Amino acid sequence: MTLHLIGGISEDERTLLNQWINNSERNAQLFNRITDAATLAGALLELQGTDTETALLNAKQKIAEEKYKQIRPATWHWTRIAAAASIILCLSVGGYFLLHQKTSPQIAQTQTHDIAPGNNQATLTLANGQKIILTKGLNGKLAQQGNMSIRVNSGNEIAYTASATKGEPIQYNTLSTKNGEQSPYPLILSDGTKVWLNAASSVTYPTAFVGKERVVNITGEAYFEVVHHAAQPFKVNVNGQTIEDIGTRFNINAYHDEPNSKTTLLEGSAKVSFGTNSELLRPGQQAVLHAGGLSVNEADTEETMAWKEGMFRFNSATLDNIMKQVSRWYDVDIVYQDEALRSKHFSARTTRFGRVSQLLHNLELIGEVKFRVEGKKIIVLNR
Amino acid sequence: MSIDSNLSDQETTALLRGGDEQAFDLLFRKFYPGLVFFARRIVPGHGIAEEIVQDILFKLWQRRADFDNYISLKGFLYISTKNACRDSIDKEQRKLNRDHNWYLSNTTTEADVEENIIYAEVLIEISQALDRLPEQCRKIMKMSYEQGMSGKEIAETMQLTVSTVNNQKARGIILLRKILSTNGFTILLVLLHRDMM
Repeated sequence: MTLHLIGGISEDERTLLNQWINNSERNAQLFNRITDAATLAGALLELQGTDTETALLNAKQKIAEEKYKQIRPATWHWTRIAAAASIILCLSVGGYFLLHQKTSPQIAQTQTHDIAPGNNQATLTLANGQKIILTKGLNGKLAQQGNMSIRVNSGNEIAYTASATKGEPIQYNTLSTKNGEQSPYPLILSDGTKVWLNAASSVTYPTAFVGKERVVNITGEAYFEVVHHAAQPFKVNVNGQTIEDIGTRFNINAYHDEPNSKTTLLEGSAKVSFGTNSELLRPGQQAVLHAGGLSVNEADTEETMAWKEGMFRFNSATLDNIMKQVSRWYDVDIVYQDEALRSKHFSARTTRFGRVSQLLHNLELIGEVKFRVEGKKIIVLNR
Repeated sequence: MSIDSNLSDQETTALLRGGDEQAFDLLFRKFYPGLVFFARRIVPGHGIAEEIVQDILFKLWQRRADFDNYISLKGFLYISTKNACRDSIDKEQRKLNRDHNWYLSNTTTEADVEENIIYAEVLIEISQALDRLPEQCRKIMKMSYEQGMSGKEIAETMQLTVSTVNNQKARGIILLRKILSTNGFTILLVLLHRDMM
């Protein structure tokens, strides 16, 4: 698209542009980067995923607080005026939030019982049973397995580096997350393929890929960026399905408590097989495994990849699906007062790193639903 | 009173200097996503990048009286963000030096930073221009350029004919060019900014 836009510039401008590009290798590279459609698409998507509104609310609150601090009584006879001013300020700050909420007693209740979000943490279990807890901020060597050393590299990724000696037996490790956790770093497998995990998920993989195929197993939700090796195809086993990948980026969502599992292809090409059925995907498509078998539809890639970008994004999702995601990330149980509520649809978008009340408020504003938070349980009620 | 988003950048800067909060909102919404994008090319953590940018934008408000013009405002935003990111990395480095004697290799050079500023600027302008397109046109443009959907796929999703989709795409490009050039912005100028910084 940027190339098209550049097409709209004048002759003189075009000459200047060409001069600039020819000036240095770096300029030429930058020009290529700006005009690369795929990079631009990814970057625009990343921009989209930023939660600007919450950040703006935070900033405005700080601004209001600062204004309040500045109104301090200089002499005693200003005290009453200052007090009135500060009450008005508190009301207007509060009012800003009230404008965005329907007033109801339940809201106060939700605020006193609130739940903190999950965080970036995962557990790496080595073949010998040794467990390493991975959190953000680690660096350097984590463990040694035979002739493989596992380290967090300078790109903030968990990488395997093999040393000289070969002929060691292949071992299987598992990277896993519980409720309330998601990968703090991508895991780089020995072939260079990268994996990210959402909450309540796991990937089991060998320390080295030998043989005709590269095979890993997953549960839950994982995002892969696979390195292409035509001679050694990459396969993911999950829920009885096999996803064969051909140098691509895709997301697999296969939680046991969801009715369907979904494999969404972002880039490249992939084949999803279940028993004797198989489907070949193109970018932007999704293979869904449901009771009737495998089918393919157009994916909502924003919604699919929201978790990796630190967001919740629901496009006409059922409350059942939404609350399951909430239960995995906030590590809570969900109880429905009325089962019919499960099939109501909602569209919403918020950061994953906020307290649960933020998302619940949004949902209450949108639809005929109410929530009550009691300890580690969220009760879903009719409005 | 609602600010007309057709205000020029200079007008918005002047209003901000006068303490107009809606001018601040406008600038915040315009720069926040691009700055976070920029910061993430320097610091690894998503959360850290957002914290840093929120901090810088709050400082923008605090120092609103200092900005005579839009260019100096932008310069402040990018340079401060860059410095804050670097400071954050240095802090992490010092922590690690105490604990493990491991090194965080910081590979972003000044040249990298400049490039990323330019790229972020391009993104902000394109993103803003996209948001100003008429509804259907915008949806189609986004599906096409952000999600890489084909004309046929878009037509099916939106229940339109392929020729309608193609017309809207062509219209979108023309409108974008108009919007981007009305702002006095061309890709060219952004690239030349680099020599001025």
